[in-house]
Amino acid sequence: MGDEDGDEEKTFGETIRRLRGERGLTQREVAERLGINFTYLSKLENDRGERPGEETVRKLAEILQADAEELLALAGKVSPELRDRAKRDVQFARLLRHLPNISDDELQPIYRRLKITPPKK
Amino acid sequence: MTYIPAPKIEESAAELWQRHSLAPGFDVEKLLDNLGLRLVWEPIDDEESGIILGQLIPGEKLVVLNEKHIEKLEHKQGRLRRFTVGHEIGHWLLHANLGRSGALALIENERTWCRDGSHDPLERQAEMFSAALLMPRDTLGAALPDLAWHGWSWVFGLCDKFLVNTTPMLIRLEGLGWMHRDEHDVPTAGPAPVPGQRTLFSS
Repeated sequence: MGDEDGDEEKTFGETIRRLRGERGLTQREVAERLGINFTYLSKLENDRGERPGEETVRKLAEILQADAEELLALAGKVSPELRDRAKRDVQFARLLRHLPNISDDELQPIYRRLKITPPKK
Repeated sequence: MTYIPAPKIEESAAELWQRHSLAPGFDVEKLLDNLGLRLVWEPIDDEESGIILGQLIPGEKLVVLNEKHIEKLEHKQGRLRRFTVGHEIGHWLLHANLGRSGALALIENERTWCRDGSHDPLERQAEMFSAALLMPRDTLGAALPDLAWHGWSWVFGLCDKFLVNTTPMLIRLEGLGWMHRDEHDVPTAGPAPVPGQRTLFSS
């Protein structure tokens, strides 16, 4: 698609729209494969309307050949496992609340241990 | 008021047709993608002056289709939707830059409102553009029968090929001088006879 301003991806909508363009698919084709109405997909691509459920985002990632975790993060989806543990474990919930304040350097050992590629600085 | 002559509008649509290798009945939403225009379906309140089928928000490169009229827009393989999208593309290519500089009165609240049946000159230009985009002169001409034709079946056949409704097809064919209505209002090949011509040959 012809209006990309750069590599920066700000939102869920922009990302799925860009990926759809790269795959050469139309809104209607993606909506049909996803089993949702094309009007709803048009709203998602423009960051309007209610965000889809985790299952829909995962299927969308499959159709767009994208990283499901990245799309889930952009859609603001928290996995049910994480939510459940935070519910029954207060200390874990506290840890989650502190995570945004931890520096990238402090997170490095955790990334290494979990074999996750750290974000680019 | 910006006056854009009809040949310029035809030329602009033909250029788009060529650049994007379009074919009769082409996917207008794919063209929006290729032009870098986004599309969203949302409910828009109609006005007393007429129903609103779509909007263009130039600053956001966004075309909005009125979800309230989805049935009407989607009827018969989305023929009215195709015409509306073509209309918005017309505004984008012909008028949007003027609007951004504040010179286009049509753009209210930074949106171009497309009212069904509007007689606003700029709306008419966007309509002409849509007709030229969906039914280009050369391609439509090539689809016409070689011999003189008469009757509705030819018109319906062309509508199915170009995926447009009957009214815009009739207007286009008449506008190009390729069709006129006979005394029984039936579509007939060729331009309308000049006044008096019929009487010369009648008894």
